[in-house]
Amino acid sequence: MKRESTLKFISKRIALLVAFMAVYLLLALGGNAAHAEGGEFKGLEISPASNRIELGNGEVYTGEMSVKNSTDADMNVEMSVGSYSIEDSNYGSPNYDSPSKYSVIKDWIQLDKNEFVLSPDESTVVRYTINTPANPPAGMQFATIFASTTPSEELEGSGIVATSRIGMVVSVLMKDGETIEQASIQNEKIDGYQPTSPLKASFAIKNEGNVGVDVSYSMTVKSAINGTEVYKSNTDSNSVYPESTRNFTVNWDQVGIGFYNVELNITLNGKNHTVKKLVCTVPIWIIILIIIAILSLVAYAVINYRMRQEAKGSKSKKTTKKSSKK
Amino acid sequence: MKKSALLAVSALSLGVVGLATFTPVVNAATTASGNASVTVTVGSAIGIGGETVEEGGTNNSIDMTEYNVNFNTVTAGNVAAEQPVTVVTTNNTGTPGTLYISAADTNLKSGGDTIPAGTNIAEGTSAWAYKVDDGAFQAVTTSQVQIDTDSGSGTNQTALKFGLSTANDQATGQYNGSVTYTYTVQ
Repeated sequence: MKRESTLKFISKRIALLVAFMAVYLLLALGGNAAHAEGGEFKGLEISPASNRIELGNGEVYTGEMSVKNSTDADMNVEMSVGSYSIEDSNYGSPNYDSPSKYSVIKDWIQLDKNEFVLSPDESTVVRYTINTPANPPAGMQFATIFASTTPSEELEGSGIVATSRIGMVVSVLMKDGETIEQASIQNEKIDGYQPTSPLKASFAIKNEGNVGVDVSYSMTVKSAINGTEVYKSNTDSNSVYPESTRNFTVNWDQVGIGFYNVELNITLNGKNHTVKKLVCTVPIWIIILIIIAILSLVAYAVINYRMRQEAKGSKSKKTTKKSSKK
Repeated sequence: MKKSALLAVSALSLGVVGLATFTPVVNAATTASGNASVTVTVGSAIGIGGETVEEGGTNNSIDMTEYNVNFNTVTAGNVAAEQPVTVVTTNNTGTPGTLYISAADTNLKSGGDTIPAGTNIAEGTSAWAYKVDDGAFQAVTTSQVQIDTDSGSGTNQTALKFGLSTANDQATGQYNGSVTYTYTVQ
């Protein structure tokens, strides 16, 4: 009896110790790391960041782009026109230099300024003219108008000079040609078991047409236990280049342990599509511990039952012996 | 004794599971309420440059001029100290922006002598490379290579480190090259 109570006392202490350690670890892991806070941005800025227009055959269009130096020093700025093409669906490496089927527009664009110096906080407007030929290719055309700057400081020894450039992508739909709009959502994927953060949902858009398509998407996560919304991502928007496939992934980094109803909402060319899935994020070690706990409880119940049966048996034997003596 | 041990194991398991499971989940969604009605038209804008950053109560400025990489003097057969560069971008479009790196010529040159782009930054090897955060060294290429994406709002910092090493028979000279950071929203 004394030994059993000592064991119980020790097991209680161990349980408390483990509990404290678990709380400490969870707090330590869940705490936000100290981070630097961002301040005022100072650099080379352009506005707008993109422009989408429609042009007829032979039409001339003039647009404007504002270029600003928000630093504290004079800035030499160079303007240039590049292409924008996606080859082999490789969105990680767009081509801004050589024209392709959907970026011959590069050669139709002229700028009114090519080089200038901006004083601190000065901005200027760069006008660009698109001279559409009489027989342009059908579909959409893409170009990028770049503003770039290179630090004037000379290197003291061996080193690398960095040029920074920002680009406004111009998308032009040739309205007199044949427009083919053909895009589909593919490979929607939300894994049912995601024990490690982040929680992920992914899909792809396959664009088989000759115009770019717009896609917007977001992810909503609700507790499967009580239906409470625990996360809603921002709605991101992107375009998918003609004759390419673009992959998208939405992540939630701060997912906890449990069961969640995950909704991936995709809007393609104005049509909504939703993918739903029940996701378990319980790590395998917790599942193993639950199994151990259940097995231990079952074993405890069986042993307890047998010991009671044995105690009953010996008690009835003693009673039989006593009555037979009488 | 057996019973107590089983109870202890069961209690421990359930305790740990309970603690882990019922830890409050951080709710990343924020809500706001109010009756104000304001209409503001803000043009979409993006930028590349620097920013003032507060670190531990101190204002540190990230300057565009620091985008250049100075390896200073490196003796033959050695590895230069890694040179950090932080590229800052800003974006208010709501569409994620992407930052790329490329080089028109991937060699560092000193007259007719070169140090080629390569990932093997080691004593006795002639190579230069960059890495994002503390990842592996990458050789810069003439085509664009994506090095970061942002959320589509606010500023974003991309931490790079440049490395260089020289061969034992590297000719003396000042070796220079160039890289281009390109930032667009598509």
